Amino acid sequence: MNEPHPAPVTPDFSHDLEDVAPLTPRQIFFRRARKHRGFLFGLGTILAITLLALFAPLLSPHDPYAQQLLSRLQPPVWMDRGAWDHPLGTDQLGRDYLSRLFYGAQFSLLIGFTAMVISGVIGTTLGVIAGYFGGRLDLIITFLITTRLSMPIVLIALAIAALLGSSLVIVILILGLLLWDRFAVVARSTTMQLRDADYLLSARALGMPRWRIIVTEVLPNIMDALIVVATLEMAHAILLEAALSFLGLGVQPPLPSWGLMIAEGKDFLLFEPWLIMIPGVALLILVLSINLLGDGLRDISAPEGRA
Amino acid sequence: MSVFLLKRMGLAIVVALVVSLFSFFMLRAAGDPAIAMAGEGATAADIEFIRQRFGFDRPVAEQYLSWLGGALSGDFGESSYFAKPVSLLISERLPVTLGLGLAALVFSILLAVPLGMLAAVYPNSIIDRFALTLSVLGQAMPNFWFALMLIVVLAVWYPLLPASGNAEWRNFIMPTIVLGYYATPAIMRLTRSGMLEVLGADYIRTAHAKGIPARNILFKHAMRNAILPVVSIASVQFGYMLGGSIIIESIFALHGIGQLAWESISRADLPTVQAIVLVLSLIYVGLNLAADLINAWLDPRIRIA
Amino acid sequence: MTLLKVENLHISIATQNGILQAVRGVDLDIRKGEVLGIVGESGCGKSLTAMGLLGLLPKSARRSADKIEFLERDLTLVGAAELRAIRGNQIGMIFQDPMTTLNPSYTIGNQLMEGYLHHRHATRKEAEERAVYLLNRTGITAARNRLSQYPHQLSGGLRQRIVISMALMCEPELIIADEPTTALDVTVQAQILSLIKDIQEEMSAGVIIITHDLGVIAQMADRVAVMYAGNVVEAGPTHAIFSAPKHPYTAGLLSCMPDASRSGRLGQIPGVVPSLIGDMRGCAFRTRCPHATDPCRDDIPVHRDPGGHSWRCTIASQPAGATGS
Repeated sequence: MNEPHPAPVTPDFSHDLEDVAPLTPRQIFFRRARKHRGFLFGLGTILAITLLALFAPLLSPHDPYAQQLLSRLQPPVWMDRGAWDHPLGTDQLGRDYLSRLFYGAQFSLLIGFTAMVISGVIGTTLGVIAGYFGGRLDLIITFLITTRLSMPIVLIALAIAALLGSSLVIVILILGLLLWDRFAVVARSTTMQLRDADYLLSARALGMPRWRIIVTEVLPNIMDALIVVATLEMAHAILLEAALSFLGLGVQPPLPSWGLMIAEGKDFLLFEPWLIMIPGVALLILVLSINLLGDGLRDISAPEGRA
Repeated sequence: MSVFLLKRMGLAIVVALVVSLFSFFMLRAAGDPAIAMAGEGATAADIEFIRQRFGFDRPVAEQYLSWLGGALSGDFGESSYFAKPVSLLISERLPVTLGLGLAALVFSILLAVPLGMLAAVYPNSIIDRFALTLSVLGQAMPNFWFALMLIVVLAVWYPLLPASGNAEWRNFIMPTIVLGYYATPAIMRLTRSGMLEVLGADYIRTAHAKGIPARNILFKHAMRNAILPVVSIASVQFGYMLGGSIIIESIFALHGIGQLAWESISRADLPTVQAIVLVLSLIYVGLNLAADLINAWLDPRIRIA
Repeated sequence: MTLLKVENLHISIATQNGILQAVRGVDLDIRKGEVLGIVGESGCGKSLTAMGLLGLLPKSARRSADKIEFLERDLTLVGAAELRAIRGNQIGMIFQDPMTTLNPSYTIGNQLMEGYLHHRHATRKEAEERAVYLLNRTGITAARNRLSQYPHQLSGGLRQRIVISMALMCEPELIIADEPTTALDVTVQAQILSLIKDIQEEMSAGVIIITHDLGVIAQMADRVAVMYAGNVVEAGPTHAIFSAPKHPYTAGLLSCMPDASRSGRLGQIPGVVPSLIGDMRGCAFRTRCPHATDPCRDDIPVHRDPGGHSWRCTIASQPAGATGS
């Protein structure tokens, strides 16, 4: 009765209940990126601002330095007395505000990007060395990081800029040399987590030179985390540049830095508040979209850890 | 515990010393301080006089040691602008800045901690979205611009508050909001993520399994563990706020140490700038030390170890 | 007397990739003074089943059941406050990892007494006496001094004894132990298991013990429910299941168990557990089953024998040779 059970398996069940083929990391990245609104907004806005900055000479309706003393402090087009010849109005010297805004984007992006690259190189080097070699080197570098964190950077940046005399290059150097701390902290901790990973141990067992292990095995694996830091530090550098320029110790007039435009507009805050509102909103949007891009990258590469 | 404490204090002192050393040499490397202090149109004789008067002709190492020796006994030399001891200037101005920093910190914690907790308890709710928006905006907004916008709205369009000066407490409202909002995103994000992590912890499930009401679990089991990292970040943020006070105090014309720093920089008053760098970094390392101690007191794992 | 009766329990979890049907129609019952073992591989839904009984599920999870009857009360119908009054009071829980189930910020005493103070409205003195009594009972030396210690000061074995004491504070009628020994050293495991067994006999409480370890089942359980992919595939008295498994999965599991009286290779079940996302029809084990046939794709009948043994398979009786004996 219970003896003759059916002959083993004719139909092939082996794929019956399995999932679809697993996605590659790149496919997962794009799939998640397409659905992440903050990331898309940030990316789109940054691309747009970069294009505006690159093509500022073509897009600007006027020469950003040309003073028209007869049409000083003309309000933007949506206010009374506004007119289409100057869509965002003119400043206290009659310069076209929209053109200055386009050219100002060049300074924000240039300074933010180069300062970020400099600090990224310094911080990553220090952090990877500390994390990979550990021991005494780690103690020294950790101490350097602690010291750097204890310095009032705004004050030091201002003092140096005041003593050296400010210029574009000096602003970039000051920011680049001051903002490496977060790179170092993140590079150090991520490298430490990697150090004992099996593939690093096997690379070491194979006798690969240490610098090659660092370049070929460590760096690619901590890149995700570093790119997120890079976006945040670029935003940080842009804000600090604006603050320095606002205090008169950053980009110097007549160059149209957004921070400097706010400083120049400050004297007209009673009756022409749009003079500070427009560059301020521009800064806000730029920094916001860089931050959203960074947050988005972090969510996409590690969706669990929304900190 | 006491070994832990001593180590921490030793480290804090060394860090402060290195910061002072660094700033001292940097300010000298950045240019001839005598020329900067003499200002434009000074004669060679003026510059030479200043050089000798402030000892810039001596080797830098010697200058540093004698400055440090003085600083240890509270003597930071004389301001080149006010012809007053720097220590006196700082002690006059410091209370304003500390008061502002403290008010801003309290404002920030009162805003950030409850919002962060609510956001964690109701993730993806309207309140979570609101908290996220607030923190994203706070991180992107240049604080000097926020200060100016507050002045436009609260002092010009609706004249509710005085725009500048430090005559009365109402002068401190706008600076407190600006500085406090600056620290809010970091504190709120950390509260939220800490709370989320703790709420997912096994011991929270244990408490639920014991039949303890959710409110007790939140306030007893979750909050204490979630608040630990917030203590550290709050002290770090207080340090940042003191740095940020340079800009904010000069906008609102508050006579604090930040405004003094800014004025001293523009007057090339080197002794004052140097002293302020040291004082600010001392406060900063002191705060970190305090945070470590509070953490040790709150967290039995550190306390015993 | 039936202590707990569960009918058609479903638990689903919303994940990024879709709805995970983690528990798919589980039936269980346990009588007073009985130890029920739930066994299965990780991910089969056994822990979720246990958590689901008390409503201790993550927020992303949804539970539904025809009935979860505990001492004549249907837990699917009671309100949150009434459920809280049962949790920790009439049903005690013992969790897997004693390193993480205790709050690092509070003393042992505080955490032991918390539930007792809450449910019994007892004085601190009474709660303390009860805690000291239980710490002694669970074999902890210097019990009174332990009350002021913090979890990180104790070893894993001690902590698990404390977690057990905590579950016993209010003399529960039912104890649910979720992998109570998995995180412990092998030598400690045996001690903890016999402690649970002793206490269960002493208090004549019902115990549900969840494990992936058939050895634990053999030592502890009066009856067993074998779970696979969110379903109970076979249930019955322990001796019946061990001596004559009816479901090919149970047979496979048993052949994976080392046995000193047997020589030769240890068995293994080929393949992996299928994804539980989305709906599934038919037997979930058919992708790995040596006896799979076309009817396995359809709804699977449940067979019962008079001894209380039931199994869910297209084959009405256990095929020869599957145990490898």
